[in-house]
Amino acid sequence: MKHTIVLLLAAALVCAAVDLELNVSVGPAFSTGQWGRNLGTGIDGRIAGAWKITPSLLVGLGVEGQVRSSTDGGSASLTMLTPALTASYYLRPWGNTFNPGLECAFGLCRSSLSNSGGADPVSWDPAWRAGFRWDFSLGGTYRGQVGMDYSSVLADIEQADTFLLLFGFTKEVTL
Amino acid sequence: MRKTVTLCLIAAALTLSITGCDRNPLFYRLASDYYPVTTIGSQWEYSIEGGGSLVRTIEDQAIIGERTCYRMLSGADYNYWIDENGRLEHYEDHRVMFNGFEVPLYQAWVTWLDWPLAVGAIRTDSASAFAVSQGVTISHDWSRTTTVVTVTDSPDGKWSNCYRVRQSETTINWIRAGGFSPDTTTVSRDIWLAPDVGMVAMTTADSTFTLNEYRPGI
Repeated sequence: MKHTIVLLLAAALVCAAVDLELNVSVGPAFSTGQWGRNLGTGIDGRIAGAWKITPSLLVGLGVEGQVRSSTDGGSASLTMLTPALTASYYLRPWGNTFNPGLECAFGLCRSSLSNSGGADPVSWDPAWRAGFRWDFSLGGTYRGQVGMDYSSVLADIEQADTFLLLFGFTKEVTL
Repeated sequence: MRKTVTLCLIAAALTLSITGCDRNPLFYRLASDYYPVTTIGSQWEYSIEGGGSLVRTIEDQAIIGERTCYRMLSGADYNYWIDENGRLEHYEDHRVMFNGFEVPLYQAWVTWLDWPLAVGAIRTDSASAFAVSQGVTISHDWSRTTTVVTVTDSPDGKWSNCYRVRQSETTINWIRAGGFSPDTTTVSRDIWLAPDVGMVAMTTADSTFTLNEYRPGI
């Protein structure tokens, strides 16, 4: 407990001294492999906060959620919720229209399947993702972002891989 | 300082990941085919408690009820299956013998299982029909409730990550003539479905089937 408080205080002190970016993005999630055989294309949404260690390098925390339903529009649904640590590196942080970058994240995914009034046991598994970003200015302190990710949930016996497209925007905040 | 904090956060996440609680092969189950009836040549050989055996084979494709399906030879009978659009469908062909004649009562494709399976899922199908034979009306009421009970090993312990499914099927046939009363039949069965194998065990009130050998088709 003591260590957690110290950790949180340290994080707060660091955050107070740096520029922050708040990012929200959504996009379609396409399952790769057999695990999505009875599920349709998913919807991915995420919210994240990151602080700029340098103009190019950002580190942060985020939460990502994905929802999928049955291929036939039935009652099955799979929800995946992943709190994650993120790291991003942008090549042209000064660029207004072209600021390509890379982002990766590592976290724990909570997967939950339900169908016809039932629910399978929930599984918590390590998860990672990595992908490209194209960041551009929307004027003021807002920035737009498009990108693609490849993500994987390192579940027991079979991992769940997903290809994602992302559309989002970022608000720059200085504390 | 910033580096220390970042490293601490990464270490915390790694620790949580490695010690990850409540892990189970959910995605393995999602990826598996729990009733693989779409490969011609697949064969299941069951032993029946008390003696005897049952062989089930996917013979070929056929058109039944205006739909293309897979034909399974199960003992001496044919069963018809379709696995598409997230459902396993079975052709229900209900008949009754009356005065030496076989009277068809109800024929239709009915969903047998909804994919993906989930513990606690319940599905109920029912039908009411009647037929007239030799001037006598025969009514037919049928219902089947399927419940996914749990994820478990098969009774013989050979197969893991099986879904145990319980089916309760009630049929009421009533020959609407003097001297006849409704004939009610209720059958309950527990079925164990193993990933990429299908039914590996089935128990009813008076029989137990256990899979001896499974040869997937090509």
